Order: sequence, then structure tokens, then C-alpha cells
Amino acid sequence: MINLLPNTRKEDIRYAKLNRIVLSYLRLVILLGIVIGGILGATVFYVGAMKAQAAADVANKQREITSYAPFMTQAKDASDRLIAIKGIQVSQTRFSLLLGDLAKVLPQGVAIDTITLTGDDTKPVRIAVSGNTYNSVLAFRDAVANSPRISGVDLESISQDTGGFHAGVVIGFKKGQAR
Amino acid sequence: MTPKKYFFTLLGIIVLLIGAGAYGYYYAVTRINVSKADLAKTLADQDATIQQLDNITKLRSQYNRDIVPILPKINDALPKTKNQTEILAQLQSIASASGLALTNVSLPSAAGLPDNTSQTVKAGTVLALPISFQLQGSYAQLQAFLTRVENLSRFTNVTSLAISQAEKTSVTYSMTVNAYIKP
Repeated sequence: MINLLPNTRKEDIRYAKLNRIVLSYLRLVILLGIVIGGILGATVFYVGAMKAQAAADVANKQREITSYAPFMTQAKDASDRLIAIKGIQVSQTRFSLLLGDLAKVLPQGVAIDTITLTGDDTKPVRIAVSGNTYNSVLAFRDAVANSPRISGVDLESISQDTGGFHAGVVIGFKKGQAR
Repeated sequence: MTPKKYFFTLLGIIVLLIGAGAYGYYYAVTRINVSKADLAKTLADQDATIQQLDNITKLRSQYNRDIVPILPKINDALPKTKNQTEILAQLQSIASASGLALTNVSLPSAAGLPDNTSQTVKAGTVLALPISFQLQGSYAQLQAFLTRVENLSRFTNVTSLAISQAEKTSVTYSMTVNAYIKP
């Protein structure tokens, strides 16, 4: 068929056909926009709602945790007290046992005149002893040297008076054994 | 409007819509990602608070079960105040129970106004009230005294012990005992 319409008319018809296609694309774009926008909007809303719910839950739980503050203070105080007690126990001296151990090795007829115990095993301890005989104060030195607590014994002096024999002895304790 | 103009108008609208849609998509995805990151953080916070609450609940039940019954003992062992009279009376009581004579009791001079922790010195994480005194008696009595001091309900520590024997019959013991306090 021969189209005898003028060129302007022909162009109008061509654009009119194209417009139909473009209009359908426009509808498709709008529809897609609505669908995608709806999905994205719903996602934003859902995530926001979840976040708000979680935040509210966290806030509730934080309030509950805050309500435990007095208990936490009590528990911390008890814990600090127990830790302190443990620390004291570790450094506590047991001079009753130490004296018992020294008394066990004390030979017959020998008495301790002076001794100063401080629990410090890094410092020497001076002991003044008296005995009935010269040999008894020497026996004291040897007996103390055999004590499992003692690291070393030095005799510093032996003197005699009407009361018997007196000796000055310096002892060193093994690590941790002076208490 | 001619069909040609209408065509280009429609085309322009499509281009604008696609552009706006792309921007909207980018904006929404960015916002979702930010919200997702926030949500992940909030959920992590939620888990942490649930864990914390769970720990506190467990701690509370453990505290009520194990600590509450021994709290009086803990407070006796390490009181919050120096309880000076009580400890001095205890020392006198165990000295006499051990057969020793307690003499010359001295405590540090008060540096400021007397209060629940005055006369004390810092000893690690606690305060110590040093009490110096002299005792007279036999070695056996001293050992009995020391055993009792070491087993007092209140935590004490004999920090120094000096034994001096002037005569065969009388032995003098000079002792310093730290009584501990945790305010």
C-alpha cells in the first residue's frame, strides 16, 4: 500500500506508535519503582522496628542490671574482703609452730635467753642461750643446724658465769621458714 | 502537544524516574546497611546484657548460697572498724587462758582525730592496727598463747616476738600483733 500522507503526518503516526511503547515502559518503570520502593521501605521499617525492639530490650535489661547495683557493691566488698583475707593468710606467721620446731631440737639443759623473731627470712636472728655445760651449748649449735627450717648457724660467743655457760648464736632461716 | 514532543517528554520522565529510582535505591540500600550495622551492634549489646544479667543472677545465687552464711565470719575475721576494745579483751582473755600475765600494752599514737581506723597503718590492701604488749610465763604457755592468737576468729598476725629470760624462773615475751581492718 502506498502511503500518501504528508511527511509530518507520517512522523506523528510513528511517534504515536513509539509513545504507546514508551508509555508502557513508563508504567513498567513506575510499577517497578513502587514494588522496589515498597520492598526497600518495608525492609527499612522492619530493620528499624527490630532495632527499636532490641534497643528497648537492652534498655530494660540495663535497668534490671542497674537494680542489682547494691548487690554488686555487697558482692564486690565480700570479694575484696576474701582476697584480702587470702593475702593476710599467705603472710601470716606461725611462731607457735616455729617455736615448737626450735624446742624439738633444743638439747636437754639448754634454755633460750633471748630471741627476736620477725618472720623475715632474709635477716639473721640472734639467739642468746644458756646451758649447764660447755658441751651443751655446743650441742645446741649442732642441733639447730639440723633443723629443717634452718639454713645456717654461727656461734659468735661462749662465756661462763655462776649461772652456767652462755652462748651467742646467729641463725639463718630457709626461704619461707622464718614464719 | 505534538506526538514527537510527547515522546520526548515521556522519555524525559522515564529518564528522570530511573534516575530518581536509582538514587532512591542507593539511598535506601545505604540506609538499610547503616540500620543493619546498628541492629547488629544493638543485638550484640542485647546478647552482652543477657549474658551479664545471667552472670549476675548466677553470681547472686552463688553469693546467697556460699557467701551470705559466712558473712558474719568474714566480718569477724576482717572487720570494717578497728574494734579496739574487743581485740584487747580477746588478747587478755587468751593470755589468761594460757596462764600468761599480760602487761604493758601499747598502741600507736593517734595521728589525728580518733576514728574507726585511726592508729592503723596500711598493710597491702588492708589496714593493720599494731598492738605491742609483754607477757610473762613459760615457753609452753607462750606456745599455747601463740596457737590461740593464730586461731583467733579475727585475722591477726604476730609480726615480732622477742623472748628474754632475765632469771631462770621468769621469761618475758615482747610481742607485736597486727589486727587487720578493711573499711
